[in-house]
Amino acid sequence: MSNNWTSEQSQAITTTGNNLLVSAAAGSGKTAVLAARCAYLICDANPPCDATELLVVTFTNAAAEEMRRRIAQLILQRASEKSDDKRLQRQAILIHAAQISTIHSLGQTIIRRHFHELGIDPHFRIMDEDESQLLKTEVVHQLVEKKTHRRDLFGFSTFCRTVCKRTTSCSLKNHPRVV
Amino acid sequence: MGTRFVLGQAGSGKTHYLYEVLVDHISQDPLNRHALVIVPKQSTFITEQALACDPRLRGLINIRVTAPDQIGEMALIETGASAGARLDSIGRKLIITYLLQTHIDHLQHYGKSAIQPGLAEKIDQAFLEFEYAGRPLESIQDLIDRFLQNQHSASQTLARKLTDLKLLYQLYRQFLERYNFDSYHRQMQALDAIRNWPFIQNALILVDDFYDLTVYERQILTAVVSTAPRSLISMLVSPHSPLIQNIHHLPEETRLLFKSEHTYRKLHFALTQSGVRLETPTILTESPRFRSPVLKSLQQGLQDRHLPPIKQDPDNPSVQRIETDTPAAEVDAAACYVLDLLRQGYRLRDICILARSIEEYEPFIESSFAEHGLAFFTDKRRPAVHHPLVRSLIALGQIIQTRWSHEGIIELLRTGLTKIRPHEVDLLEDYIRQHHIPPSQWSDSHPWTFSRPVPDDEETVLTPSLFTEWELEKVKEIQTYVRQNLNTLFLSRWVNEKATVRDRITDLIDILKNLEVEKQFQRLILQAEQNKDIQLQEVHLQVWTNVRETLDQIVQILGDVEVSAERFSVLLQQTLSKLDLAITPPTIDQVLVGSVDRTRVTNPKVVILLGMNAGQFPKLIPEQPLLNDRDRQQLSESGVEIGVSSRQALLEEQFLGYLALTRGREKLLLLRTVVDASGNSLEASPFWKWLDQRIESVPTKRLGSRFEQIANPRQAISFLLDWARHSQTHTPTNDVKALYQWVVQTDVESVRKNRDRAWPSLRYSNEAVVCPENALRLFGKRLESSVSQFESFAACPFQHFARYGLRLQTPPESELTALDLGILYHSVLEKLVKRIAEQYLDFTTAPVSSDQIHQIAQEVGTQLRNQIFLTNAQNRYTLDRIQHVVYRLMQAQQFVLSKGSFRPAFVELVFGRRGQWPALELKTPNGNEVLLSGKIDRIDIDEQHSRYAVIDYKLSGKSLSMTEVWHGLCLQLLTYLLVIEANRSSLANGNLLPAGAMYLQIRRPPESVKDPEKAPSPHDPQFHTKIKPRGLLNGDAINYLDPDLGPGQRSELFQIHLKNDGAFAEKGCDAVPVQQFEQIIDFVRDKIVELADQIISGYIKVEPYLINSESPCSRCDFARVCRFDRLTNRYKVLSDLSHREALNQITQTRVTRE
Repeated sequence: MSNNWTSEQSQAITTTGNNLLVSAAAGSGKTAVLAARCAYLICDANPPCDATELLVVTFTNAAAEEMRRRIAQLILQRASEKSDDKRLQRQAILIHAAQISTIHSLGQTIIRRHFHELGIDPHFRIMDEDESQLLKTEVVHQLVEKKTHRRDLFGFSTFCRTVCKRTTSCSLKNHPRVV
Repeated sequence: MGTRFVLGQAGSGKTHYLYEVLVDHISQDPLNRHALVIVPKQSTFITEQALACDPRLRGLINIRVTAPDQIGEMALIETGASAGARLDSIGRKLIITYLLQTHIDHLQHYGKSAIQPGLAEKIDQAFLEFEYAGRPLESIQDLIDRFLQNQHSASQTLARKLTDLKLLYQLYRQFLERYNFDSYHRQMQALDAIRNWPFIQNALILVDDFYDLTVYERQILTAVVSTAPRSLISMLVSPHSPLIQNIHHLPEETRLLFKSEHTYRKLHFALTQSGVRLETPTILTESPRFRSPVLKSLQQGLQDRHLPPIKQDPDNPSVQRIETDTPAAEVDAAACYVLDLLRQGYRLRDICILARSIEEYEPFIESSFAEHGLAFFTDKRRPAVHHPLVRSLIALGQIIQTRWSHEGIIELLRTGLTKIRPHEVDLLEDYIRQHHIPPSQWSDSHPWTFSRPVPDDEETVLTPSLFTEWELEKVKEIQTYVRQNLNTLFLSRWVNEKATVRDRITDLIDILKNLEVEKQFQRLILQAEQNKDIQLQEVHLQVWTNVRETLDQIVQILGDVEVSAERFSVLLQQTLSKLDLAITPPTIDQVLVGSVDRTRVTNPKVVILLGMNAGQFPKLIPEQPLLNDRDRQQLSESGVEIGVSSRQALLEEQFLGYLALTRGREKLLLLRTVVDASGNSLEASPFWKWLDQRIESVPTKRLGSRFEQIANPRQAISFLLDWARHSQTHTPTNDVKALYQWVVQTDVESVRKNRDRAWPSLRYSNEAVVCPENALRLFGKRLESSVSQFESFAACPFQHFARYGLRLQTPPESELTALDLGILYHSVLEKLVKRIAEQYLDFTTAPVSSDQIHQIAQEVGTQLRNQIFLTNAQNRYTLDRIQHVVYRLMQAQQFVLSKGSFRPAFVELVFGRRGQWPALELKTPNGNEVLLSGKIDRIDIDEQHSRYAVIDYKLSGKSLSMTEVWHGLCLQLLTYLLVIEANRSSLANGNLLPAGAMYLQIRRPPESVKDPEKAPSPHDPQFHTKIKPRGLLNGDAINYLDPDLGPGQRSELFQIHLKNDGAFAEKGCDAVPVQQFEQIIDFVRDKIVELADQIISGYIKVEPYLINSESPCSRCDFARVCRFDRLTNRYKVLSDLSHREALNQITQTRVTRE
C-alpha cells in the first residue's frame, strides 16, 4: 500500500468495525482512499472480506468501472507481491464479479434475485428509451379509449383540458407531459 | 488391453495420439474391428470430418462418433428396448408451463410469477441441473427438512424454493409417466442397457475433448469404459500437475486448468470405484501443435509464470494485437488480416475467429465478410422465427388473439406461403389504409365498397375509390379468399367457447391445407435447389420437420387440455418462437466463426480473438435467478453439486482464456475496442495483458484512419470519393495521391467497374428541371389555381411542383388529423352562423344554445370522411367536446360584434369552381392569365357605414406577418379582399369599402395566471375580448369596428393602438392608414401575378426558403421526393423584417411601380 497517505487518510483506510463517513473537499483524494480501503478490507483487514462481499455504489457507470479498475489494480499488485497466497490470487479474479455498480444496477440485481416477490418474469430486462416511449403511448391510447368509452366525462375532460393545449383527447396521446 | 488416460496440456497432441491408436486398431483387421469415439455434441461433426478425411481409415463404417447422451439411446435401441417418445426442451417447457398454471395455488414461493412465460424455462433448467447431479428433485425431502431446521432466513427461503421445485418435479414425472416420456427413468435404463450392449463389448473406446462432465455423462462414460475391453481417455491436464503424482491432491480453484483437472479427478474416482483397473496414464510433454516457437512458449509461460518472457521476431510476429474504435472496426480489421493471410498462402479453413460472446459480433461479421468476399460459417443454433412457415403460424396466432387485426392477416399473406402474390398484398394493404377499413369487416361476407377521402386544396372531399376496376376486383378476390379459408376461426367455438388443444391444432392444420401451404413450401425448396443454395434448402427441410414435430408434441402433451382461443394463441406463439435450427457448414473451405466456450476446432493455423476487453472476456455470468449463488453454496455444503455458481463461473473463465490463447498453431491475433459508444475508455481484458507478461513487445496497432482499413476496391473508391467531397479542407497526403493514381490508371476489372459507377456521383447536383413546353402543358397560359398554391410556390418551387404539378399525395391517415378537425369546425360554424342569420334579425342578440351546436355537430359528424368521428369512442368524445368550444366562441363573437355595427352577411362563400362568385381573374406582366378560386369563411357587413370585413377561421392563434406577406408566403387572407373588390356589385348596395381582413381563433388555449383567483370569469366581458382577431385593418374604418376608441388608447376588441396624436402605433397594431392599406392590397395582386409567371415558366427548383433557421421542410410532405441535400442544394435565404420594415418595403415597391 502506498506510504504517502496522510494520517487522516490512512485512518479512513484502515478503520474497521464501525460505520465510517469520509467527508472532504473536492480533489482531496476521497476516491483514492475509498479504493485503497476496499483493497485493504480484501487483502489486509482482520478478518479479511471476500471481494464478492463488498457493495460499492457509485453515481455513474463510468465511475463504477473506474473504481473497479483501481481496486483490481491494488489487489493485483498485492497478489503479485505474494504470489503463493492462493486467497489473494482468487480475490484478484473475483473482484471482476464484485458488486461495484450504480444504484440502478444494484436495484436490478436485487430484483433479479427476488423476481418472484414482484410476480415478474425471471427473464426480465430493462426497457430502453424507445421501447418505453412506445409502451407509454400504447397505454395512454388504451386509457383514453377506455375512459372516453365509459363516458367518464366530468373527471376525464377536466383532466384533458388541464394538461392539453387543445381540447381534444387525441392530442392527449401526443402530449409530452402525459407520454 | 485396459483403460488408460492420455494426459497433456493444450497442443500436446492428445487427439492425434488417440487417432493413431484408432488407425492402428482398425487397420489391423478392418472387417472385424470397430470403435466408438465419444466427444461432446458440438465436436461430433468436426471429429467425423477429420476421421473421414484420414485415408488410412477408408471411411467410417466401423467407427461411430457420438455424444454421451446419444450413447444411452443407441444402447437402449440396440438392446431391444422400445424407442422412447421424443421430448425436447420445447416439450418440457410446455409441460412445465401447463403445470405451473394449473397448480399456481399450491406454490409457496414462485406462485406470483407462475404465469410468466420465462419461469418455465428456468424451472426446466433447475430440473435438469438436479437430474445431471444425480439427485432428482423427488428425493430431496431430507435436504428440505435439513434446511427447514436451520433458523437462518436464507435456509428457510431455500427450503421453500426446493419444496416448490419438488412438487413441480413430482407432477412433472407423473405427467411424463402417463405419456411414456419419462426421460430420467429412461436414463437409468440406458445405464443398464450399456452394460449389456454387444457393440461395445469388443470395441475400442476413445474419449476426447471433454473439459467437464455432468454426473450423468460421467455415469455413461463409466458404464461404457467398464464394459469395453479397451479405452483411451484424453484429458487436458498439465504434465506438472500435482494430480499426476497424487490423484487425491485437491487442485487449487485458481489453477489455470482447474476445470479439466477437477473433471479428470472425478472421472478417475468414478472409474476406480466401479472396478475399472486403470493403467499408468500416458503423459504427453511435447507441444507438436505449435509451429510457432512463440506460441509454444506462450503456452508454457501461461502454465508456469516463473519462466522469463520470450522474444519474437519483429518482422514476422506470431502474436499481434489491434486496437480499434468500434466493434465493427474490429471485425473489419480481422477481415483485412484474413485477406492478408490469404495472400500469404493460407486457406480460409486454416483460420478461426473466436469471441467469448460471438452473438455481439455476428451482425458485423455478416456484413463485413460479405463485403470482403470471405466465406465463413458461424457455429451456433439459428432461430427459426423468421422462416415463412413459422411466421405464418405465428401470424395465425396473432389473428386469433387480436380478433382479426389487419397486421396479422397481412403478415400471413406476406409470408409467401399462400397463393396471394406480394404485389397483391401491397394492393390490399393500400386499400385498407386508404379506406380506413375496420378489422371487423373481415368477417363480413359482403364485398367491400368504401369511399376514400382525398385532401383537396382547401378541404377533404370524399371521392369514390381511385382504384381501377381490376384492382377492386383483386381486393374482392383476396377478401373472399381470406374469409373462406380462415372461416373456421370465426366460428363461435373458436372465439368464445373452450375447445381442446387437439381440436384447435387440427383446425389450424386444416387452414394450412386450405391455403395450400404445402404446395408453396415445396416450391420454396425447389427454388433453393435450383439456385444451388444447399444451406437454404436444408433450412426449409429442418423447419418443416421441426414445426411438424413441435405441433405433434403440443398435441401429445396438451391435446386434451381445454384452452381459450387467446391462451392457445399465446401458447402457439411462445412455442414456435423458440424453434431453432442446427445447420452444418455447406462448403469445406471457409473461416470458422464461433464462441470460445462452445466451439471446438481442429488445430487451426491462425486464431483471431475478438472483443478482448474486461467485461467481455472474462465474461461475467449473472447469478441464476431461481437458485442463486448462496443457494448453490448451501446445496454444495450439503453434498449436492448442481451447476456452477456465478463465482465459480468467473474462476473458470481463466480456463477459457487459456484455451483461447492456445488454439492456434502459427499465428494469433487479438482485437479490442478502446472506447465505448459514449467515448469512455474501456479496460483491456486480463488475457490481453497476459501477453505483455509472457512476450516481449507484442506489436499493438491502433487503427484509426479509414485509409489504413481499405481492403477492397469498393472501400478504396468510397474513401476517395469522401476525400474528394471534402477536398477543400483536406490536403491529400502522398498515400492518398498514390491511391488516386492507382485507381485512375488501373486496368483491374472490378476497380474499373466501381470507378466508372462512382465517379459521376461527384458531379451530382440535386436539380429539378422541367422544360418550358412541358411546364406550359402542365399549367397552361391560363393558370387555374388557388392562393395556397402561390404560397406553396413561394415556400419552395419544388414543393409546389410536387403537389400541384405531379399531383403527389400522402397516404391518408387512419387517425383523426388536424385537417379533419379543421373541416369539422368550419362546417359547424358555417351551419350555425347561417341558421342564426336566417332566423334572427340581429346576430348579436340571437339566442345560441349548446344543444343547438351539439345537434349541428352530430349532423356534420356523420358526413365527414367515412364517419371517422363516429368510429371510436375517442373521436366521438372529440365531436362532443366541440360544442363547448363553439359555444364560447359564439358568445365572444356576439359580444364583440354588439359593440360595433358589423354583422355576419355571408358564410362559406365560394368563388370560382362553380361557386356563387366567378373566379378572380388577373393578368400577368408576361401576358398570362390567372384564375383564382377558393372559399371565404365569413364576410361581415356594416350597412350603416358601407363597410365589409373578411373573417377567416383558424384553429389556433395567428397574426398576419407582414414579412410573410412581403415574401409571398402569406397571401390568402388579403387576396379575399381582392376577390370581394372584384365582386363588389353583388354585395349589399354595391358600394362597400373594405374595413379589414382578420383571422379568428377558434380554440382557446389554457392561459397561465399567477393566482387562480385572478383567472377571468367566463361571465366577465373581458373574458371574451382576451383573444382578439388578428389581421390587417383599414385605418379609416376603425371607429366602425370599435366606436369607443380614442387617441392614446388601446382597443379592447381588436389589435389597435392609437398614439396620443391619433396616429397608429408602430408595434402591436394591426391597423394601417388607408393609403397604405390600399398599397398592400395592390402589392398582393402584383405578387400573385409575379409568382404566376414564374410557375408557368416552369421554375421548379428545389429551393426552400430560410428565415433565420426556419424552413418549410420540416412540415413538407415531399421531403423524401426532393431529397434536399445541404451539400448540393441551397436555401433561398429571406430576410426577417420587422413589421415596420416590411410595411415600408411594400409601400416603396408600390411607389416605384407607380
